[in-house]
Amino acid sequence: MIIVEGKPLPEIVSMLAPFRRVFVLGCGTCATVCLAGGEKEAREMAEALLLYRQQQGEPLEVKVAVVERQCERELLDSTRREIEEADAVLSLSCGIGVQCLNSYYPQKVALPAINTKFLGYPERLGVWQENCRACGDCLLDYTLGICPITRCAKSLQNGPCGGSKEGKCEISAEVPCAWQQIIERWEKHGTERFPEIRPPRDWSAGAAGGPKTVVKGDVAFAERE
Amino acid sequence: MQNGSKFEKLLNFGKFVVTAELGPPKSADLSIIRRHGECLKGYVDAINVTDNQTAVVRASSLACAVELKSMGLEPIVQVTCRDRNRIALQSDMLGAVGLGIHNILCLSGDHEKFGNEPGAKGVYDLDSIQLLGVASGMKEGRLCGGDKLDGPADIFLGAVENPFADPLNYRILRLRKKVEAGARFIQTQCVFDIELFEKWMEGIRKLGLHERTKILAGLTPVKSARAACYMKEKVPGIVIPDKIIERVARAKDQKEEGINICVETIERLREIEGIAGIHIMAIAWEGVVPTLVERAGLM
Amino acid sequence: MEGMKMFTPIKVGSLVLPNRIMMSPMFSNTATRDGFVTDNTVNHYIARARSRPGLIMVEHTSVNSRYLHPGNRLLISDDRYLPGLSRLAVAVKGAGSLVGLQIAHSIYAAGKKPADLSKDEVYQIINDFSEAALRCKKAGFDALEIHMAHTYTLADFISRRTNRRIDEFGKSVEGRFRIIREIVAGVRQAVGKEYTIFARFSADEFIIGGNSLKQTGYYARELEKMGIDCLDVSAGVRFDDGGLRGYSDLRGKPGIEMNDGPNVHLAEEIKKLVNIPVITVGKLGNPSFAEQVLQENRADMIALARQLIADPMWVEKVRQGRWDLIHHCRYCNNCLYKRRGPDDPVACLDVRKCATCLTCLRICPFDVPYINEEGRLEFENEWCEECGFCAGICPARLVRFAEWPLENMSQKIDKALEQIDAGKPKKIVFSCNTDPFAGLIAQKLPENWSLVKTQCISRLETLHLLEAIRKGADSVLVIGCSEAEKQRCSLHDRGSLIEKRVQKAVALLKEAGVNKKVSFLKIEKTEEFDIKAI
Repeated sequence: MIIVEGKPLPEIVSMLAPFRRVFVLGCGTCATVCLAGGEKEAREMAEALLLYRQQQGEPLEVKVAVVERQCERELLDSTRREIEEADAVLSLSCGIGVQCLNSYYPQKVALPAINTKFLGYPERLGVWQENCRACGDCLLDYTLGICPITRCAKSLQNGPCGGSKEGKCEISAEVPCAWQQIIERWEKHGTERFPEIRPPRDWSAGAAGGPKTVVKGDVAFAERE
Repeated sequence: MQNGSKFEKLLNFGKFVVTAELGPPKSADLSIIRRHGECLKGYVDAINVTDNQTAVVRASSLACAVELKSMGLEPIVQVTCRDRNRIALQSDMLGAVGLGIHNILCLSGDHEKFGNEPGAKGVYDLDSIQLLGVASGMKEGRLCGGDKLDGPADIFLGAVENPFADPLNYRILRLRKKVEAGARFIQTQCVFDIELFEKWMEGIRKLGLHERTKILAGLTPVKSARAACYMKEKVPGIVIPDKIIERVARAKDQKEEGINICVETIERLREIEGIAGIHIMAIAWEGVVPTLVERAGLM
Repeated sequence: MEGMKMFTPIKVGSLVLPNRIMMSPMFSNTATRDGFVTDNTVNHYIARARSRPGLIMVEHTSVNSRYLHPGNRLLISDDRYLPGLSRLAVAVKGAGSLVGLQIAHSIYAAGKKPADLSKDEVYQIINDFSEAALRCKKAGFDALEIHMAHTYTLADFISRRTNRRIDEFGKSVEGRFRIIREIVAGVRQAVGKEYTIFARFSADEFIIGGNSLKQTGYYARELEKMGIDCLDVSAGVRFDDGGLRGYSDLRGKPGIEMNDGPNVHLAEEIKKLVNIPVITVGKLGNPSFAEQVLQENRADMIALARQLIADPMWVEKVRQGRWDLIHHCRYCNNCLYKRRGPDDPVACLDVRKCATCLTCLRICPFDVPYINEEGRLEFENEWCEECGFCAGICPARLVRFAEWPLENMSQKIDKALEQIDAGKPKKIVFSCNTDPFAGLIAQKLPENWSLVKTQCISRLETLHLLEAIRKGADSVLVIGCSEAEKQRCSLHDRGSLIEKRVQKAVALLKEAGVNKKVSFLKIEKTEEFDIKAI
């Protein structure tokens, strides 16, 4: 899941300064699950904006809605009227949703109300952990389910660095050493792959190497003219 | 290029070598390097030049190494994976060899979080073992991506190892990986816990690694008990037993006691089979190196 | 499916129903607040009419407006309501189904019992029923149903438990039944001999001292004699037995834990006593079971309420044999009582809104939400204490509880602010409803303070605090659980969340530059509390 986190209010009010009619749009999937962009947060945001403008003596009209996923054109279209009536859309979605809004409604400005943090999972109520970097070439088979690219601070692939201490990473005593965990996994399952030397990775499969497209040949139709 | 590494020759000759570490200045004024170089001249066989150690921005390792080279010293350029991708790393190594600096030490690097640019994007395109592999390839005229060099680069490749970091029992295996990737000399993290180090060396000898690579034990003279505590707490990868700190703290002259401990350690290290030399990391106390070397009888 | 008894016609009074399925009258909360039919009402019934059940019996429609049952109920107390009701009748018939109207009356919500009514009032009610019946016919409904079941006035009259009158409208079985005799006679006179009249009663009230088949069997025979055309045999729903979670109530809306058709035996017994058609109701959404009930002649018709809420096309899907497409009712009863605002129509819990974030599952002190065998989130409502931890934190605001009496928090805030005279600084205090301490505070509050009580303080959301400020409150105080309450209340251990929400509101107000006070008060020792201190 995409883990997101709300931006501070001052940043949002300053980006909304030129606009009078604002449509606060929540996102019903990841952002809701992260308790950062669901209906509750969207309404809270609307209340906070109204309060701010009230304080400043400036007018503001706010509408609030939530769509299932802001990254889908068809789902966004369910709020077409509100989007078109607004001066600006404040999106409580990850960066993907904000960009989709801007590209599907180019005549409008959609602004981000939350920061996209990482790909991860909820560890417990209110705590989320990062565990994937979308590197495009999964090596979890080698490490038996612990991603060194994400969970090792230096993304090392050939074992721990010299800073590992009592199972903790050198960057913080709160961060476990991923390699310690990987070695424990290997020991537990009796698969010893430590001596293998992993060659340099092809990072272009992931974040490096420019924007990427995935095409699933058997379902992708040619784009209509 | 023709001459290759003097340091390598010394090691192959079987001399118990001494290397020291110099940190480049936090300015464009390289005269300090010359000054430190001057005072080490004649006492050490090679000088490591750190690469933005603890992720603090300093003058480039290669530039300082060139400075030392021009003084007739034998520099070892440190190269970390933190700041450069494989393109920059390979190009820097080629440049170093071109300038007559053959000794290259490959490290992962301290995390950028510790330094004065904590917002920097850590690169870690390669890890240290992969970097060793890439450099070995360059020795055979091959680049990381498979492209051919117009000529091989004569690199004397080194790596580091921390025998005291967790998980302890994998440290020897990790060293073997480094050796297999092409490390011809190893400088260890500073040794305070000599018993643990002896045990580690036993493991190294069992695998015969001391025959395939030259192992230099790291040493750091402690200036004071406070400095020792600081190192223990803040510097990643350093393990100092409490009894050492106590001993320094109890001493009248803490500096002197620090040197004493170091000399004693050197004496014990010389007795360990498979130790090819020592590596003195006296950061911000470079002046102590000649004293140490003299007192340990390594002149 | 062809050949099913369910889809054979049946004659009820003068009506011929094309099949034996009735949409049971069930509150939809779609009327306006003053009882008019809305587009939502029409759409709600049209959606069910499209799959052509034998009859759609429109929900509880109140014959007078004096004692209204909570919720947005339809009214038929005046001719003003006729155009809307007429539109509803026409629309349902246009969609392909016959349509009836249930007329009802409730004194329960006003806290009254039959013995509290004067004789004049009783005759007024009798008269109201006849007038309503006439309007019902005028509006174009094909039939009407007199509601004498559950927790409504007529049920109160015929129940041994609640009718303590000592005049001719009480005392004996016959006396308690007298109001029904009068009403049926009046209604019959109003609508004429040919009009079809249904009667719904609880054959067993499932409550100590309530009616059982012994009494209701007699009533059934009498109703037949009086010319009622069909008996709609329900059960239970006496709120005086533990309200919405009492056993009696649960018999009326059998939950997940009960078997199919737990009340069929009641219809079966009644059927032995009368010759007019008998309808059974309650958890009959399993088509093969429902068909079996009819095949075995245990009842003449089946009535479905919640199943048709869950799947409006149930009848059509059963008819076409596409049972695989049925969206089965889970019988969780969330459609009825929980997880909705006061004006939200009754509907299946809107799972589409649910992001399955599992926050409720992780926070519920009673493990009400759980993941079922199909891997979906479900609520085991039997254990729900309605504390509202889930409502306070649900990011989709899907889980919500209406505040009693069926208001939402916004409305409560509005009211609280209205109570304070203009010109004075307005202060709002939020407190727990069950905390005895809240009553103490209410007494001590100065004039310009207004108290908003909620079931549990953890239902309160940050946005309610912001809303109160935006609407004009100068300061807001949230009172956490008192020490005394902590010893009594099983929920306090997770109550600290509200403190964090207050902190969030404070932070947001600071960021917005709003200089108004939102504060949290935790009362350690009740005796020492001094209202002036805050």
